[in-house]
Order: sequence, then structure tokens, then C-alpha cells
Amino acid sequence: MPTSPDALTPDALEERIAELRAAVRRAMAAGDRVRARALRAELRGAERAWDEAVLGDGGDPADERPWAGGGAERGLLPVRDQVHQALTLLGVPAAPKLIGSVYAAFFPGEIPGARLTSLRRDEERSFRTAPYARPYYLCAGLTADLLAAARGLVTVSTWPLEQRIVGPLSPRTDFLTAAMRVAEHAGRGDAASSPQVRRLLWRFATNIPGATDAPATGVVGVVDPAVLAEAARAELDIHQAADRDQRRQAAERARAQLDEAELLFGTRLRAMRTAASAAGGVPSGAPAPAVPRRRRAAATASRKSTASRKSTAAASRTKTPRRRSSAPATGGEAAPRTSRRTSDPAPPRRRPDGASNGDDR
Amino acid sequence: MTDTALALDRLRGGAPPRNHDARTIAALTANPGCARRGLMDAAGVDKDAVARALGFPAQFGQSQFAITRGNAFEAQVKADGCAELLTLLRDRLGLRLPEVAYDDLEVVGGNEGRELRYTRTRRLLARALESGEGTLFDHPLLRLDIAGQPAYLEPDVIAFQLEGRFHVIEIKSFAVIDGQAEPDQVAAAARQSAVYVLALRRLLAELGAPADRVSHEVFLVCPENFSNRPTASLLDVRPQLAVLERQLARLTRVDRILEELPDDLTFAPGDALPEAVRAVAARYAPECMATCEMAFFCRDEARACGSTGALGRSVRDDLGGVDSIGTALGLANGTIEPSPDLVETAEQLRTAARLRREALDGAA
Repeated sequence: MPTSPDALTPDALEERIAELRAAVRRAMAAGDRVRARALRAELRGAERAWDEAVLGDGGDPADERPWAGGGAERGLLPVRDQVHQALTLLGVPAAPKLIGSVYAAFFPGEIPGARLTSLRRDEERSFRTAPYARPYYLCAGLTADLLAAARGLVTVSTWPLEQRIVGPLSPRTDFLTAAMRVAEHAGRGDAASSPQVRRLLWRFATNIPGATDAPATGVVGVVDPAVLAEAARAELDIHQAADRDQRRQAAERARAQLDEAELLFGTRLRAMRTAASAAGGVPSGAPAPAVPRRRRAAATASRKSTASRKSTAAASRTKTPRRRSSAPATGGEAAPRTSRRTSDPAPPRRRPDGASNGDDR
Repeated sequence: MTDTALALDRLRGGAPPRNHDARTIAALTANPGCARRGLMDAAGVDKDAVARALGFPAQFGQSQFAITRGNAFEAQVKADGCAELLTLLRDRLGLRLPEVAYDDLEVVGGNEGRELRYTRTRRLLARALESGEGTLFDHPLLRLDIAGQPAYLEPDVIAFQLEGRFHVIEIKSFAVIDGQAEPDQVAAAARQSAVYVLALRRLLAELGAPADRVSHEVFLVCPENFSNRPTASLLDVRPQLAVLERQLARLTRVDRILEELPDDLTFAPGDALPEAVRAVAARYAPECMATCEMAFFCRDEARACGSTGALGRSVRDDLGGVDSIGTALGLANGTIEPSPDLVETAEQLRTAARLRREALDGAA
């Protein structure tokens, strides 16, 4: 570790951290959540010790603040867990606005809207720093054609890839699926009586043909969840087969072409990479290149010059060495992370779940 | 890159070009004789910045609240896979249930490059023409030749395919109350939509499809009454299309304007900026105040040299051939001897002066 010339302790700690991370992952893979949680607590302790050993004397107290403050206030669920709950209920890629209203309707409390905007970026950074350190990641939907991150949609990394692909028909099928899930959830117990749930159901029902025919209730503005679910299923039947085909094909392509991080967060530098692979004679696969190569090169050049966005720069920085060493990287975890740590000036060391965007900015 | 493109790059002074939108093109056609505006728009100069550097900041512009409101309404209509829009289209135009495909053209693989987006728009529309695939196309990027230069259009619009014909959907946030909307707003929306229809037709023509594959009826989506609920109506933009096509054909070509200008002219900020701007002739009229960021500067210039245009377009037309107010007054007083081609105008001016004198004397 080049950044710690003083003692052996940080090295030992780093080994320990790497071991613990692997152990957490194994425990999660085996489905042993209790053990995973215990290991994670240990892991945090080790990370804190590493921080003290490396940054201890000259360490910036501001680094600690989000932790200390967050720990006291975090009586409620962290934002990412709230989003996870809402998404699990919906079962489809969803926009933050829908996630917010679903959570408000069915769960106690609300999701602070401002926190949702940076969530996906934080998750991506966390994943790239320590892959699979968390049991799940909130990640992007992938567009079916270019396998890039779909705008403004949040998904969960543990879903099957097909579920996270967004084809041309998927916005509608996802809307209908969400309507069914919400209606079924509202149909259980007396959830449907709350005004927020009623509003949510109405919002779905007004835009699904036949869903507002409610002889049972007979009141305008009140939706029978069963009728809504039935109407949504009827329209879903029309689109589902075609949509499922498109999603399956795109998912197969994605599995063949993308690395682990890209599978979760989408490709960003598609234009550059296809140009490179085409030049190298490697068949670039099914997604027909959107542009003739001359144009693509021009676009890439202009993009390079204007690539001031930090995330893009960081992505390209981390991607290049990792792609080359991708085969051994999957086995030995420590090697790529060390290289990334040296290349990235301020990696988010901590994983304060839910408060993850506190200090990395 | 052509010579013209190089010259236009130089005019911008290295700054990235600004995208045209339908608003600027609709405004451009309002004053087709203005070389200054034509040149600056063709080069994609940030006119607002230039006007500020000249000390004449434009005091108008769309209100931030209006922009936010417009964006919020558009987002609402397009939320959840265009749910509300699909409902409207099914109700009003009889869109069939299976037609729900939605293609987002605003970003291509995380890249917002104009060429990339234009190429992708073109590819998807070509596919739609061939196989009928695709229903809604969100934020396509179109291209239109303005005065011999291609201008990219950043339309705030969805192209929509119904039974093989494309329609333009324009989402506006002004309210339709009791079936009536503000006529000015509707007219402006129609003018802007006509630009999109025209650009879409040109694109389809390049792809080898007849122009009538793009409908002249625009689907206008607005909030209904005092609610946030969207309603929709069809807007026939044939008159606006005709005007637009005629005006675009009449626009002075940029390369002809460039020929008469010095080779080192640039609108980059600096001490030479006022001279550079004055080197290009403007054609100020009071209507410019509503549409052009440079209007305050041009008005100041027009008043300083006593241009008749500052009094309004009708005055300038009536005084055909007389450029300045001073000359017109001189002709009316008889202190300036008219040249042979102005004899008739001078006669009328003198008559007008005599009538005015008599009227004032009679009143006194």
C-alpha cells in the first residue's frame, strides 16, 4: 500500500478487510443473513481501525461527522432500504416519483425526495469500490437496444436481468404490472381505505381502460382494487409476449457483452468501446451500431474534450485497467481494489448504509 | 468542413454552438431581412451573452416559473410510460391498444451528442417507415436547413405514429378553459409545431417517404380548465407551414452575407465586439423586442442614426426609399431637394406636412 509508509498495521488490516468482505459475500451467497450481519459489523470495525491507523493523527474530523450524526438520528430506515421496500412491492423498474408515492401509501414515513437523486450514483460508486459488499444494490434499468442505463429508473440488483431490461414496450408493461401489484397489495386487509392508497389506485386506474368501471363502489374517485388488477391484466396480456421476447434477447446480449459493473449500472462509453472493438476486428454483437464509424469517432472525440463530468472520467479511469485484468480480478479481489484506490483520490471508504452520500462528494 | 462552416466557427469565437429551437426559427421567419440575426443564428452565437457584453441585456425571456411549470406538466403527462398521453391518444384518435411502444431519443447510451441523437432519430424513423415498428418517439432530434446551414432542432415534442402517419405532439402548459385557450398562445404553439412538422417532413423526404406521411395536424396537449389534467385537441398547422416554407426560402443565404464581411470578424467578447456587431447590417423593427435578444442594442442603434424602421414597419414601408427620419423631415419642409426617384414620396410628405400644419392652426 503506497499511501501508508508508517507501519505494517494498515497492511494487515487491509488483508483482514478483504477477508471479511469475501466472507460477507459468501455468507450472503449461502443465504445466511445472520452471519453476514455479524461479519459486516466486524468489517466496519476493521475499516474504522484502518481509518484511524492511516488517517488517525491528521485525519479530517469532517470525515467522521456523517457517521456520528447519522448514527444518532438514524432511528428510521435508511433511504436505500425504503426504496428497496417500495421496489420490492412494485416488482418493476420505477421512477423515483412512483417509488415515493408507493412508499408513502403503504409504509410508515416518507422518502425524502432529494436523497433519491444521488442514490444511484452513490450505489455505483460503492459497487465499483467494493464489488458485492452489500447484499443488494439499487441500480439502473438497462435499455434494450444499447444496454445503457435507462433514464430515471431505479431497479434492484438481485432481480433477474430480464426484469431490469427496458425495451420499447416495457414502460407500458411495467406500468401495468405495477398497477396489478399495487392493487393486489391494496386488496389485502383494509389498506385501500387510506386516502394515499386511494389516490395511488386512482392514478393507475384512470390510465388503464376499463379500470374505473367500478359497480361495487359506485363512487367517483374510488377504485375497486380487484377491477383495477383485472383491467391491468387484460391489457398486459396484449403486450406481454412481445415485451418478454425483447427483454430476453437483450438480457442474453447483455450477459455476453457486459462486465459485472456494467450489468448493474449500464454501459456509458458505448460509442468508444464499440469503435475500439470494431477496429480490433472483434464482432461487436447484436446491437447494430447507431452511427457510422466516422461519426462515432467524431462524437467520441467531442465527448472526450467535454467529458468534465466526474463520473464519466472516473468510469473511464477505472475501466481501462480493470478490463485488461478482468480474468484474474474476479478471483483475487484485493488486487484491483488496491489499484483503484491509488488511482482514485478519495474513494468512499465507509459504507454507512443509507447515509452513503454523506461524505463522498 | 466547408468554408462557410469554418467562418461561422470563427464568428462564434470558439464557443460551442447553441441549438436552434422552434421558438428561434419561428422568430427568425418574423424578420427575414435581418442579416445580423440571420448570421448570428446560423453561427449559433449566444446572442444573449453578446447583448450583455454590449451593455444591452435583454430584459425579457421566458419566466423561470413558466419554464418550471412547463417541464413539470410535461413530466406528468409522460410519467409511467406516457400513461396519461396514451389514454388521451386512445380516447381522441382511437389509438389501438397494442400500440404502446416508446423510444427515448433524448439520450443515446448516456451520450447527448447532437450528431449521435440525430443519427439515432433517423435510424428509428427509417425503421418505423419500413416495418411500422414504434409508436411514440420522445425528444427526437431533427435538422432543418436555415439559410443554407443545417440547424439542429431541440424539439420538446414527441413524434407519434398512427396507422403509418406521423403526428407531432406538442405539450404546452397553458390552460384550455372551457374549450378555449388564449389565441396568442395557440398561435405561438402552432408556429412552433409547424417548424417540427416541416423538419420531420424533410427528414422523411430524405428517407424517401412522401411528405404526407407526416400529418399537418398537430396533437396539442394542455391542462384542462384549472386542473392539472391533460386534455388534447388537434391543431391544423397548414397556414403556418406555408408561411414558414416561404420565409425560409426567402431568407438571405448566409454565405452571401459572409462574402461582404471582413475575414477576421468575430463575435467573441472583447473591445472589438461593438464594431463587429455593427459591421453586420440589422433591420430593426419594434416587433424585434418580443423575439430577439439583440433588440435593445439594435433599437439604440436605429434611434441614434434616425432610422425610419424604429418607428415601425408600416412607417418604413410608407416611406419607401427614405432611410432616415432627418431626410423625411427635410423633404417635408422642402429644405432638401428630392432626387428624381423620391419626387413622388416628397410630394406626399409635403402634403402630409401641410395637412398637419392646417389641422394644428385650426385647433389653435
